[in-house]
This record gives sequence, C-alpha cells and structure tokens, in this order.
Amino acid sequence: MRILTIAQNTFRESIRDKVLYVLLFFAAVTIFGSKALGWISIGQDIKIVKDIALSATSVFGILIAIFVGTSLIYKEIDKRTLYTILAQPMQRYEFILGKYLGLITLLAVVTVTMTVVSSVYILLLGGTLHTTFFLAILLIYAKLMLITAFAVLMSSLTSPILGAIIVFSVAVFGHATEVFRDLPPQFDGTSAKALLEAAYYVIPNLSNFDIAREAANGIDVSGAYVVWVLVYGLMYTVTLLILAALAFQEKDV
Amino acid sequence: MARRIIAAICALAVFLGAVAAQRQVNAVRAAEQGEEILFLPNQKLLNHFTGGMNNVVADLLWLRCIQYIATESKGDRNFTWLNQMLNTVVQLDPYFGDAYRYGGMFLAALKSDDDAGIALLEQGVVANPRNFQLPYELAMIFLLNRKDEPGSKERATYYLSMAAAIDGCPEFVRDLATQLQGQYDLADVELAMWNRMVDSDDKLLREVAQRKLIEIDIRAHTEQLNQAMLAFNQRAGRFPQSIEELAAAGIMPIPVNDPLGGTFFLGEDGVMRNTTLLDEEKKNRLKVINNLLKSYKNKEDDWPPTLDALVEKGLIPQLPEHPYPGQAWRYDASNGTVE
Repeated sequence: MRILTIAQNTFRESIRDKVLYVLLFFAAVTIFGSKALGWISIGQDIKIVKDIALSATSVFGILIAIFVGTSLIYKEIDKRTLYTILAQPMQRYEFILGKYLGLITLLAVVTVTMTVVSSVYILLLGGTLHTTFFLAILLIYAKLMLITAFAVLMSSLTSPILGAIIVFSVAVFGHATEVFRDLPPQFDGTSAKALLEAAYYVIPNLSNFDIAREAANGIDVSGAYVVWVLVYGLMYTVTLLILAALAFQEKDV
Repeated sequence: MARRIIAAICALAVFLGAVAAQRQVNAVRAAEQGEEILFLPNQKLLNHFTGGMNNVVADLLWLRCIQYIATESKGDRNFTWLNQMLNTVVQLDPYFGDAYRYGGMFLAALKSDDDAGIALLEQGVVANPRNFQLPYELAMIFLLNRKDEPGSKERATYYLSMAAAIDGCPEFVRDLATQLQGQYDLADVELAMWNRMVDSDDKLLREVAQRKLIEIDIRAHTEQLNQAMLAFNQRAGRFPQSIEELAAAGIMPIPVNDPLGGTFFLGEDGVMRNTTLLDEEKKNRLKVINNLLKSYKNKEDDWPPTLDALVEKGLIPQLPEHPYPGQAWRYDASNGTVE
C-alpha cells in the first residue's frame, strides 16, 4: 500500500514535468513529419512512417526515462521531502520500488499515447498494422522498464547529470553488445576474449528488444522469441532494482 | 522601438548570411558528391552502432540512394557507389523488400551490372522468401538482360515458377510463368513490364519507364524501316542508297523521327540503325568494360595492357563489340580509360 502511494505521487509529479511535454511534442513532430521523407522514397512512405514511429517511441521513451529517472532521488533530497518520507514507518526499498512503479506507469501512458497516435496516423495514410507492430511496442516498453531500473539505480548512486550520461551511454552501447561476441579469430584462446564475453552478459543486451525491422516490413516473429526476451528483460530489471534498493539502503542522506 | 527594429534588421542580415553560407556549403559538397559514401563505416559495424535504429538509418540511406540515382541519371551515369549503398541498406534492414527489388532493377538497367543486380536480388529472396516480386525481378533480368546467354531462360523459368508459387502473386506473373513454358515474345514481356511501371506514383520510376517505352518504340520503328528496305529490294532489285530514296519510293512505313533526339541512318552493311539506341547500347557496354577494368586493376594492381587481356584473364568470355558498325573501342592503358 505504501509502495502504491509513493508510485501515485511519483506519477502525479512526473506527469507535471515540463520536460515530458517538450519530449512528447518533438516525438509527435517526428512521427507526423516522417511522411515528408516518404515522398521521395519510391512508395515506401508507410514503411518509413512505421520505422520512425517505432524509433521515436523508443528514443523519446529512453530520454524520458533518463531525464526523469536519474533525478528521482536527487529531487527528493533537494526539496528535503525525502526526510519527511523516510521518517514514516517505511522501508527504503519500498520507497525505491514506489518511485520505479510511478515512473514506469508514466512511461506506459506515454507509450500507449504514442502507439495510438502512430496507429491512427498510419491507418489514415492507408497503411495496415501487422501484429508484429504491437509486439515491437511491447518489447520497446520492456526495454524502457529495464532502462528505467538502471536510471533509478544511478539515481541512488550519483548526481543526475553523471547518472544521465552513464544511462545514455549504456542505452547506446547496449544495442551494440554483439560486437563483444563477434570477435575476429585472433582473439581465440586469449583472456581478452573471456573478458569481452563476460562484458557481453554484464551489459544489458538492448538489441534483443528491437524487432522494428520485422514490424515495419510485416514479418512474423516467433512467440518463443518474444517470451524469452520478456523473461530476460524482467530478470535484468529485477536485478537492477535489487541493486538500487541496496545502494539506497547504504546511502547517507 | 528603434532598437528593436535595428535588432530585427541585424537578425535578418545574419540569417541571410547563414543562408548564403549554406549555399556555399552545398556548392562545395556538390563538387565532392559521390565521395561521401567513402566515409560510411564498415557495414557490420554500422549495424551495431545505430543505437537500435538500424531501420531508420536504412530508410535514410535508401532516400540518399534514390537521390544519388536521380543525380547520376542526369549526370555521367556511372553509378559507382550504387552497389555499396544498396548493400549497406539491406545489411541494416534485411527485410527491406523494395530496396532489393528496385536496387536490383537499377543495378541491372541503369548501371548495366547484371551480376550485382542478381546478387542483390538473390540475397533478397533468401531474406524475404514470401516476397514474389524479388524472384519475378530476377526472372526479368535473365529474360531481358541475359536473353542470349545459355541457360538464362531456364533460370528465368525457375525464378518465375518460384514467384508464381508465393501467396499474393498476381495473375500476370502466373500467366507469364505458364507462357514461358512454351513459345513467348520477349518484346511483349518487356513492354508489359515498363507499361506497369509507367503508372507508378514515383516520378523517377515513371521517367525511367517512359524513356524505356520510347526506346522500345524506336526499336520497332527501326525494325519497320528494315522491313521497308526489304520491300524496296524486292521491288527495285537492290537496296536503297539512303532513307530519302526509301521515302521517295513511297514505301516509308512511318514518319522518321526520334523523340529522344537521335537519328536513323543507313549503315554500309545495308542495315538501318538509330543513334539513340546505339548510344544507349554503347553506354551500357562501356559500363561493362569499365567494371571489368576495375576488377582487373584490383587483382593485378595495374591496368591491362590491352582490352583483350580481360578475355585472356578469364574475366569475360568475349569482349563486347562497339555497337557502331566499323568502329572499335579506343583504350588508354596508362589510365584505364576506354571510349
């Protein structure tokens, strides 16, 4: 119950954040503006609108998770509201979990809004929507949940700016972790290979969540793949939340 | 008030300066156009470092590719970077059906690089087994561009049968697959293909199709003129000395005009030809020879001493002939240029 109260407050507070509306405005401009690119694409306008709609949902969702998520704890300390909250009969992990749930609820609202806007726009342009399009949105949301958990962890450990830089870097390099596994033969049998392979599993593999290419081209994706990616996302997110709770437990506020 | 006006004028002046600077940037960039692709990172790395936006990067590169095709079509028509651009697009988005489809067509029809077009389309067939358009376009290349090569009709039939077997394949492809089993008319096949494309929503495709349809008309005119020559021969016991003599005899089948600005002429061998068709053929054959010269240079690190060296090295069974009767290719071994 206490977790839900904090989640509700976090959601109410975040939804009043002006940054959110600025990002949503740019996301809408990007999606609507994508039609202009389609004019010179030899009949690929719907595909391009779908590609950009999915990427905008992902990119602007990540930006919201970073900007709002990394300042969650800092704001409470800055406004001195944290002391009042922690004076209540409440565990610190409940506070972290409540904050996280509030933020992912906000991201759910943002994702659903962008999906509805994109879908209506695509249908108005005469396009069709394949099931994979909605599965891609689901996986984007799972990715946002993971990144938000990482942002919350960073919020417990560092300042908002440094946290935002670290989360942004992980969000970018998390899409490129395959390079750690796809090594040239010179690496065979070296300790560098073992180290890079370890890095492959430590850094979240965000490319797992990207099925935008299949979605835009109407290609089926196996149910097993989607389920396993969701399981991976859930496991990784829970790990990050446990670390965030531990870090906040030890934090001297 | 006066300060505000002065500030607004200053802002406008600075903005106009920015516009002028942008025009200068465009001018410098235009001079270096085509080289930008050199700065594209390795295709594999590009795939990893797009931050999860492979498909958007593929779309943007595809748009750049279309602009490149339009620019080259109006320029020297070398299409040097087309193959690499298209391969990068499909590396980033392997399900981008139209990039394979139009890319394959452009490589074969505009760059005269059938091998690259076929390779791209075959890659597309593997990645998109449910797309009937890719095996259909492959069949078209074998039917139209390689019609004289042994085994090409069999491969065309194979790909058309593959296209006909895919759900959603239109009736005309199935009819064509059936037609190919027996006797067929390649001119009709080509005419039908360009006629479909001339209705495209896309300006570039419409322009390409319109030109191809005019070329088909010119070919038909040339053929009719040659038939008229035979009729003249039957009547007069000899071939006419000129088109004018043919016209004077009253057996000119059609008014002799070429909407693309070329002329019809009577060769010394008594065959009527058209300069538009011959020039187009010359460009296509030159592209084939230039591609071979580059392959030779890459392998041997030097230009071949003669064009025959391309045949001797096994790069091609026979060198394409100069399309103009009595003319030969002029080759400069010092810099690998041929004209």
